[in-house]
Amino acid sequence: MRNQFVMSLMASVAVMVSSPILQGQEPAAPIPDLSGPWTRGQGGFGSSLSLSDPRMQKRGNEDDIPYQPWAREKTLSQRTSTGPQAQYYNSTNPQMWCDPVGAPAVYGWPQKTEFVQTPKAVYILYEYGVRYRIVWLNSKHPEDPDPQYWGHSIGWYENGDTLVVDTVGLNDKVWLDEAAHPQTEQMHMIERYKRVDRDNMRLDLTLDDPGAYTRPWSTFRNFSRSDAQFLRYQWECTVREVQAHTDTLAAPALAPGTPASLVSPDKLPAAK
Amino acid sequence: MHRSITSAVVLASMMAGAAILAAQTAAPPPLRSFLPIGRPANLPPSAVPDLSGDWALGVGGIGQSLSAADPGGRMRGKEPDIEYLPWALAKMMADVPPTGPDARFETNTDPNMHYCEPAGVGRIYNWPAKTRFVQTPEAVYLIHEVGPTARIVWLNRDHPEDPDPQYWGTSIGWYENGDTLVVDTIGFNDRTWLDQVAHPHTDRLHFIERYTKVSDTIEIRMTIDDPGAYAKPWPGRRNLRKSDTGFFRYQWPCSVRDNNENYQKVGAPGNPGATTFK
Repeated sequence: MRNQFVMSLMASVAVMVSSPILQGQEPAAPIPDLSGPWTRGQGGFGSSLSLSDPRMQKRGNEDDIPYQPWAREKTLSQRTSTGPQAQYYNSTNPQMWCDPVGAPAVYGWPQKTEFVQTPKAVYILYEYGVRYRIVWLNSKHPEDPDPQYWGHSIGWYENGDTLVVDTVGLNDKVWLDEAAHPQTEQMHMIERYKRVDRDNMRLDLTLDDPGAYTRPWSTFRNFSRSDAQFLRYQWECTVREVQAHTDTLAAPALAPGTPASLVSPDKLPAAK
Repeated sequence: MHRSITSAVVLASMMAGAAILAAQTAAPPPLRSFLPIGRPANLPPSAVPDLSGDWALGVGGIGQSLSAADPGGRMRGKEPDIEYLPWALAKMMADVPPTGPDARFETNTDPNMHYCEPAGVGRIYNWPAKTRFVQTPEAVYLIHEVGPTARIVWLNRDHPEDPDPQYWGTSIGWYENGDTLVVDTIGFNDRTWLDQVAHPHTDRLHFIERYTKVSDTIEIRMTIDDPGAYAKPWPGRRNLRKSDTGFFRYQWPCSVRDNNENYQKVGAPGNPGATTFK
């Protein structure tokens, strides 16, 4: 608390110093307190980002996802691990290899999220995978960022209640959700985290990927505050456990007794 | 797989032996730790050292082994500062590291490389990547580029009574002498390697880290206190130096699929272009 107080004190001093007299600008927006931890709330997207089809019953034919033809084909060519069309043992879900889950797919999981706000950066911590992202405040995207799983994120505050996160530099290896919606390296993702009240936060998400979709599209989800300690359980994904699980259940697509089957590339289901 | 069968056999014979012993005399409970766990009572108050900045592996910090006496891993299994229990020595020597003097890359048994198992508390400092410390009044967040993953060190709490075993354990911490962050961790599982040369541990591991800031360096003094694997605690060392090359520019992810693709492409010594795990 003391640090936060010091921070906001420093912020107000900074605001006063660089006041409109000097800069001719609006004073900086007050900083909303996003401290959680946050868990899944009611409403918004589910396993699929599609608001018209959160349970993946019309995968590839959702009326609110503006696919380019190849992106629709790619979605339909993937084998999900959950939902009505799931082929768990033969799934092409990158989570079967414990690839970094990426955002927004991480929000398809029920584990908690925490924001650590500092003057220069916001760290968004995820229990799932035990991962984090950094949102750089007062910063710019690099000219030509290398594509990576979590991309390059910058952010700023708006209206005293919202953190806006702008992300580019993403790779094309992740699924956007459990429904296997693809993204390309052209993805530009805008997230608006709004603290609605003490116990509620809302994420409005805009996906702007001219490589895969014909126009930007939007979705949202709600979070509610959790009283449980953050990271009390470490939701690590390891391929050994995926294998143990699939082998125990005698996966039909994998010969029983070949525990390396998921790791051996010639036996991997095609990913692309 | 073989390892778990071997350790199951070892365990079974140990249990059988223990049962015979127990019938003769009531066996004492296994030693929980050599050193006291948690925050010492009557600790004098300390100023809070400023650990901000980006910290990379420093001179003398890069090593294969955590052993303070043998950072290069050349005396693997014969380090003067490590007293192994026999099973722990046998397990380590049966494991094949991917780097260092005993490396055989193409047949390595590294759980991180095969399965993307988490690096774990000691081994995370084996990567040539950076760490940040985000200090708040309630906790210190250890933000590692490797993974990318983060640990939380709770400052004003005690350990839970009986924590479930997990990869990163459960950590509490406090400051000492105005220059040191002490991190005390229990509640580990037994799956990670402590370092690049496969030093093993059990779920009784009590891992103590002392991060001391000395101008542009953070010295990490570790204590590996695991009566399940070692006959006495042993010291581990790493140094971090301040870095100004930017944080999180490379995200050091682990993906088994990427590992396979890369090693197929790159090949490995003695096995060009055909490295598969297993």
